[in-house]
Amino acid sequence: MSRFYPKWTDAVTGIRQGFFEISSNLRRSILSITSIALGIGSVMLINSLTRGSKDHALQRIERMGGTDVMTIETVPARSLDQKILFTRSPGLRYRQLLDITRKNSSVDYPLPQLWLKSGTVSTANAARETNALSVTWDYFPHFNLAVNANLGLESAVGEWNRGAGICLLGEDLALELLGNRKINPQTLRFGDLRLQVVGVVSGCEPRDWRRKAIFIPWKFYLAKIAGPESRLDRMMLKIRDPSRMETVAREVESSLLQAHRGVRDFSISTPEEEIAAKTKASRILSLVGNFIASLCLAVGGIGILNLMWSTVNNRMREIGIRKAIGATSRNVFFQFLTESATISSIGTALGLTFGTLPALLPPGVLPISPRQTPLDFLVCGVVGNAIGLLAGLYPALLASNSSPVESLSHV
Amino acid sequence: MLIRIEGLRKSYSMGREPVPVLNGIDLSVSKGSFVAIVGPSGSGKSTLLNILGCLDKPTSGTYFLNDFGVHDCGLDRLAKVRNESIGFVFQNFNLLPRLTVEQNVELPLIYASLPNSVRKEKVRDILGRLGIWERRKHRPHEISGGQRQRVAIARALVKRPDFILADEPTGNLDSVTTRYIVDLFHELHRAGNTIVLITHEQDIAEEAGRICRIEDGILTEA
Repeated sequence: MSRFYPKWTDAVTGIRQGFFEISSNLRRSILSITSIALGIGSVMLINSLTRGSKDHALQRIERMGGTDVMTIETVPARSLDQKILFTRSPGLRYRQLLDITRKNSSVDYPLPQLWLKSGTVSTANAARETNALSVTWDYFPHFNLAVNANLGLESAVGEWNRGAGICLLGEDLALELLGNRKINPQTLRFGDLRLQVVGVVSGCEPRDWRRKAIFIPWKFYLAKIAGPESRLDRMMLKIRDPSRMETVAREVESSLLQAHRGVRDFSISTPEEEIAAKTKASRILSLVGNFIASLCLAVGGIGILNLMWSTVNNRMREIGIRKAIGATSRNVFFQFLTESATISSIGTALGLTFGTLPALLPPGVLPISPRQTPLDFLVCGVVGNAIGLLAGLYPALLASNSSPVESLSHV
Repeated sequence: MLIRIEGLRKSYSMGREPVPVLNGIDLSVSKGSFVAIVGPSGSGKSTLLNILGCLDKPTSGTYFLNDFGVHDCGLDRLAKVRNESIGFVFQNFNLLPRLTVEQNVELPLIYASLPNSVRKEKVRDILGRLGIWERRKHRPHEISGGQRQRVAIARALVKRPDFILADEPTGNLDSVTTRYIVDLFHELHRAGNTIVLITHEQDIAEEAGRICRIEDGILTEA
C-alpha cells in the first residue's frame, strides 16, 4: 500500500513542466501571474501603508507634544456670511489662554508656538536663510529639547520669560553660522531685529527642521513684533491629566465660545481625535484595498485554474504515456499541482517584490513611510501559493484520476 | 510460466447493453519466448493489449504475471507492475515531445525512484547498445522515425522488464526501418528477452516463433 505523499522527482518534474507551460501559454500565464502579483503586491502595499500611516499619526502626535496636549486653531472663514460672522469674534488671543489656564485647574500651562516668516539671520562673518519660531521656555522641556545656555541656564530662563531680545539657535544653524555648537554670547540680526545669542538647542531628530531654526522668546514676539493683542493662528494647552482630555476640551471650548461671543471660529483637536481619524481612514483604506486585492487574487486563481485545466486536456496523451510507463496517480497529481504552484509562486514572488519596493525608497520621498513586518511576507507568501495550490487542485485530480487507456487514446 | 491467462473476458457498456470484446481467452507465455498476436481491426487486439499491459482490468477471468495475480490489483499496484515488469513499444512511439531522448528513456527509472547516478548509467548503457547515444540531447521531432522507435525500445528496455509488449511497432515505418526494427527484436529475443508482439500484419507476425490469432474476441494458436 503506497502512502500519499509527494516525491521530490514529481516536484522537480512539476517545476520544470510549470516553466514549460508558462512559455507555451505565455499570454495566459503572464495574465495569471500578473493578477497574482498585483493582488499580493497590493495586500503588501496596503498593509505597509496602513502601518506607515499609523506610525505617521503617532509621530505627528509626538511632534504635537505628546498625548497630554490639545491644539486650538483658528478656522478660516469659508464664505462671505462666515466672514461677516467672524468679525463679531475677537479671534484667538494669547490672553484668552492665559485666562483659561488661570481658571481651569486641569490646564497646566499654555504652549504658544508661532512661526515667523523666513528671513536672513546674519552675523559679522556669515548669513543664512532660516525660519524663526517664537515659543515660551516651557516648549523646550516639553519637547525634550536640551538648551546649552552660554550665560547659565537660570539667567537664560529669566531673560527668556522677561521677553528680552535674545535667541537660541538650532545646533545645525549654530554650526553653519558660527562654526561651533558651543558659542560665546554675541549679537546677530534676524531681519530688522538685533538679538543676542544665548545658547544652542539640541536633541532634535536628524531630519528635524528645528535643527536649523532660530528660537525667539514668546514675550519678545508679542512686545516687539505682533503686539500684545494680536490674533494667533494656533495655540496649544498642556493638560495635567491626559485621561481627562475630552472633559477639559469641552470646558476649554465653552470658555472660548464665551470669549468669542458665541462665534465658533476656532477648532480644538486632541491626540485621541487625531489617532481616531487616522485609524478610521486607515481602516477604510485597508478594507477597500484588500477587497480589490482579493478580486485580483481571485482573477489570478481562476486564470491558473483555466490554464491548468486546458493544460491537462491538451496533455491527456502525455498523462497516459506517463501512466503506461509506471507513473502512479499520486505522481501525476503532484506533478500537476507543482506546475500550478510554480506559476503562482512566480506571481507571489513578483508581488512581494512589487509590494516591498515603496518601503525601500529613501525617507521623505513618500509623504508616509510604508513599513512591513516578517508576518506580512509570511502571510502573503502562504496566501499566494495557497491560491496556486487551490486552483491546481481540480485539474491535478482530473489528471490523476484519468484512465491510462482513455488517456492514451487522446489524439 | 511468465504469463498465464485463463478464461479472460472483457466487455464494455454501450448504453444499457454490455458489449463483449474478449470472450474467454486462455494464453500462456513462457520466459524468453517471442509471441505474435495477430488479428484484423475490431478483433479485440487492443483490448487484449491493454489487459496484458496492465493498463486495463478484465471483467472476469484471471491473469497471472510471474505467478502474481494482477487481474484484481488496485490502480497503484498496476502502475508498479507496469513500471517493473512491462516494457511498452507503441505504434506511434509515444515519446514525450517536450523531453529529450535521454529524458524520455530516463522516465521509467524516475518513477522507480532510482538514484540519479544509477539512472544516468542505465540510460547511457541502453542508448549506447541501441546506437542512439549521440542523439541523446535531441527532442523526438528532431530525429528520424526509426530512431524514434529505437528510443521507444530503449525506454521499454531500460528497466529490464519481464517482457516487452509491442503494439504495431513497425506500423509507421518504411520497409528498410521496419526490417531494422524486426532484426532488433530478434536480437533482443536472442538476448533472452520475452517479446509479445501485437500486429495486424501477417508478415511481421511470422517473424515470431509463435503466432496466436485473435478473432471476435477468441484467441487461437495459428
